[in-house]
Amino acid sequence: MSTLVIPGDEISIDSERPVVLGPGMYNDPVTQRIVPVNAGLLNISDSKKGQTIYVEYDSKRYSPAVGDLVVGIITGAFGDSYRVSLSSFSTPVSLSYMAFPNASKKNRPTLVIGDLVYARVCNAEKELEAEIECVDSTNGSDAGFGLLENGMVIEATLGFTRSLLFNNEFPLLRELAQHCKFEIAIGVNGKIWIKTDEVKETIACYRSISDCQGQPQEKFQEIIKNYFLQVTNTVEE
Amino acid sequence: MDAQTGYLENVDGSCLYSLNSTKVISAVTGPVEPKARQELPTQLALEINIRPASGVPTTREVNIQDKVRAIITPILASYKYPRQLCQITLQLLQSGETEPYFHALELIACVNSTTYALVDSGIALKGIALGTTVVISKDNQLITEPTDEILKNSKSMHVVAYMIENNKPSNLLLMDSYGDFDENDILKILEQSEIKVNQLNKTFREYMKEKINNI
Repeated sequence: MSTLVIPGDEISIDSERPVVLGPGMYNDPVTQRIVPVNAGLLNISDSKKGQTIYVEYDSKRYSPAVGDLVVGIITGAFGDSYRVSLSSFSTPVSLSYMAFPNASKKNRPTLVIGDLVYARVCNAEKELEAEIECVDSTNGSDAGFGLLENGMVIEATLGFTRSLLFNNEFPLLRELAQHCKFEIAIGVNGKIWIKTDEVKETIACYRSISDCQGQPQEKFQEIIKNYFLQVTNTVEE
Repeated sequence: MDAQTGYLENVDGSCLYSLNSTKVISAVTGPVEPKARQELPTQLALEINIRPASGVPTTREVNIQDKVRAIITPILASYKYPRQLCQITLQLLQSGETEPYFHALELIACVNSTTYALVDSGIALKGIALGTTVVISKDNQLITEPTDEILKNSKSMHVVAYMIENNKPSNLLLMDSYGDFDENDILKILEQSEIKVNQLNKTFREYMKEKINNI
């Protein structure tokens, strides 16, 4: 069920049952009214526990939320943590030295300023500095997190990166894989890291992904083919 | 009236807005890290900058800034972003009015354009703010969305901005009047502007519907 909502619209909620509010919804502390605060498609789902409500909307600036997978840039190093930027000019988040696999007081991670990391948001209270971790805290394994070496970062809208990461039907990565081998890390903070064997392939991937943003899915194949034709002399049919 | 959101690449929300011959670009960035002196411990700080169509900003632009701030502050869900900053920059491209005498048309263009840009940016809003200019002409006619010529020949002019919640005007955010008028005129103006704001709200919704369906 999805309908268009504009900030301030009235939403019919069963007041008898518990409600869980997701992104785009807000409980005003003064009036105690539950209202959508973003323009987008309203999603209400029912479960045994209660009703879950969120608004699906696209934006450019990321605010940390627990569980999000993000690509960050190390901007500072302190006594026991790194300072990491998830989007330019936003409040930085912290990455503890202990939030790495096999971390101990003696065994310090070796990241330097300017490095890219793939991480998970583990703490995001709006009054406090958000925290991220490069380790699966349930079992201590690296789980694919950590330093991203070489490659290139593409900036995209948050809605687009969510489609890339969560929508298995989204054809972009499958189409790209037809043309070259690549490694990818998608952060829902609007940063996509991509690495290929050759610079020209990286450039083609970069341009394809940036350009497919905001285009209908039917056009993806054509756009990607065009860019690969530009950088390589041969292209398989 | 014409609005186009997402006009600028490097800001979070933007809108190119034109009404008659007034034209303005609004840019919204936020929530971002504030300077130490702007930071508010429990809520979102708001910085508004207005750049005139020609010359440098003067006291006139600061006056418009303060009015835009008075309108925009109540619509922000500001407690959702403690110690953050929202920066709004408005660049006028065409004034559309005789600048030394009036600022009514620019003010309304700034407010409406900011609303579009704020929604585009994804900053949490409790409602939306839309406004209109109404003038009473010398022969006691009410005219909404006047031109410079009509402003010059008016008996009084009024800027009215409403907060829109749940698809209807819920709160009068600003009423700014100049000239010769009485209580009856004010009531008529409020009635007329509410009708106009309802129309603007309808246009706004249609625009957003189209934009979201395109994704």
